[in-house]
Amino acid sequence: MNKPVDDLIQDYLLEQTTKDEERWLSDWVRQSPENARTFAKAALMHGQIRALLSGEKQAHDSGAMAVPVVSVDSGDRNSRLGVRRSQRMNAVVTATVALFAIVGMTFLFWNNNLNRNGQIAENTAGIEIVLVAASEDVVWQGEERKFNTPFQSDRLELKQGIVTLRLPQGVEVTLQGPADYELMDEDSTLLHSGLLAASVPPGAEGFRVETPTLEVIDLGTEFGIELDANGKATVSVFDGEVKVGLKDQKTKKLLKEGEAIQWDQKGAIEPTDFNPTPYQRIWPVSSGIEQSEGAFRLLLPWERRLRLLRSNDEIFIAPERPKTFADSLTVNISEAGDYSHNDDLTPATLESGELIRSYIFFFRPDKDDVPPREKRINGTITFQNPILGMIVKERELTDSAGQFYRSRAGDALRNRELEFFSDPRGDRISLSEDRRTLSVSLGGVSPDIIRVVVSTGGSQHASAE
Amino acid sequence: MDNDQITRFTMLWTQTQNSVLAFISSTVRDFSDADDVLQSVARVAVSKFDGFDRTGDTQAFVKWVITVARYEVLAFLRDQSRDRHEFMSDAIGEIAQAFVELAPEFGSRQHALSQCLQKLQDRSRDVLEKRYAENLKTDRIAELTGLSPNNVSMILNRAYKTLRLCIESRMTEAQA
Repeated sequence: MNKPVDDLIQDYLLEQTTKDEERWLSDWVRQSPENARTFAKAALMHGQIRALLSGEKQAHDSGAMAVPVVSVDSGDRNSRLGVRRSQRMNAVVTATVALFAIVGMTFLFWNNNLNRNGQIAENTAGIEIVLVAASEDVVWQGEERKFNTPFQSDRLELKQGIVTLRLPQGVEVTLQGPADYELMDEDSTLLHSGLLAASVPPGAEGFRVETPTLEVIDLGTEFGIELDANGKATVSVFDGEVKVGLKDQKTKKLLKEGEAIQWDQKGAIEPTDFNPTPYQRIWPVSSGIEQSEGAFRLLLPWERRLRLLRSNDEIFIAPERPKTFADSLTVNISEAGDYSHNDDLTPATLESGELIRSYIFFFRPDKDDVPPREKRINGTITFQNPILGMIVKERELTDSAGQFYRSRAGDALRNRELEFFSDPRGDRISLSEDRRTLSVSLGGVSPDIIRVVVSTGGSQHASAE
Repeated sequence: MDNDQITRFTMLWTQTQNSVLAFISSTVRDFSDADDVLQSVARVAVSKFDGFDRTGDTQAFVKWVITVARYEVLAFLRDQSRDRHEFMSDAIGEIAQAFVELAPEFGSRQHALSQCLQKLQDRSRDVLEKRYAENLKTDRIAELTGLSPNNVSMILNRAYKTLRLCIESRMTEAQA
């Protein structure tokens, strides 16, 4: 049996199991008293949930005291039971019922601390969310949200502007207003209207976004949903895969990178042209980059085939999905300062466990139009959060490739390390004291790669080697 | 029964009826059917209470009434015109024994549950109420809430897991 036992028990109690599963569960319960006890605890909880919620509903509906569950009648089963329907018995039963009513009400009130009109001791409203980025023109419906300050909400309405929200498990959702977005669970959400883009890190696969009619299930990806005022929905996949389909149908279509589908009021889901234009404004806001100047060019999700990129004048920036390292990570540069020699490097180890973002900076001149030897490529970029470290040497670039999402760039990373030697062709980089601004000056002849690891706002500890 | 017996039976029954219903529901999963069986158990228990040891405590009553319920469940399942076997009825003896052993915890578990229910998110709470207070099936809950049936099932499963962990945590704290 592949399903966890606890899940199987819940499915059984919800009448959602097959006969084979029930047979297996029955055998499992009978295997040991401990198994039977586990099953009994789950069944007991279900029964007590029903008792508590039913009693509350009855109290609410009647506005009076609740009637206990048990009532006694004189139906046909009496004959099966062989109960003599004497008057004395009826009187006993009637009296018993009356006593049930009195004692039962007392019992329910003693246990009933779920009065929805009363004060709830703890905050039960919504899922914890962090606002990590926003455009300058943001206008919320209702309460304003502060950066990097967790707040709880189950429904967000954005009048205008663009915001990026981080949900539990590291999922980042970017909304472009006007938008109406509801969070039912930490990985189950509903887009009522507007434009949404989601980036789902490894480990958070299964994250769902629904519209009133569609269900999109992430399989490890970046995707977008556009839901217009007429109810037309377009789902586009920028990276990875999703499953998408109508909510009331079990069959879902697998949608891959560079593909899109559309649903309209006619009810059919149809393939459509992949058109990232609606998302052009979103990506810069959600990228984690505050500003950049010079040769830097931010690649949009659908442009990130590094092997195809060549330019004599641009340093491409390919953001990678947020992730949490399982193992520690060795970086070549871990401290603020200027770097123009290999002796300047400040290697260190970033410890595992924290959620980080990473970016590949990629320079690859056009082999058919070789620039002059003295050409330099310069740029300055500022991130929203501090840089934890940078990987600039080939050994660490290839060693660490498997830990990052963009491991397929591994081949493209070979022979691409920065070259720190003092002649006009050497590469130079500087990291500001606040660790948020990086300036690069690259020799314009040879390809270069830098992997930049940036904090997401949580703490990360680097231990010097 | 005399008045003292009526009072005693009522007190014992009130303390245990929810748990008896939970036991019944572990094999008779339809709420209406489970309620019917509970009524049968109540009738039998009332009629046979004279034979229950007057000095017996709640634990003894639970053991006795669960035994009554066990046979009422088997009779119900036998009487139903079903074309398929209820496999869990094969394990009803083991389940009954487990419920008897859990009896000392019935009250504390229900108290813990009532506190844990307050920790649920509004959406989860709403779905639970539709399932348990209004006796709605998953598909109907999906229609009413605008969610997919899969989503409803997922929300229920997550709520159960949250409640189960919360209850066990509170039980452990209470025993510490």
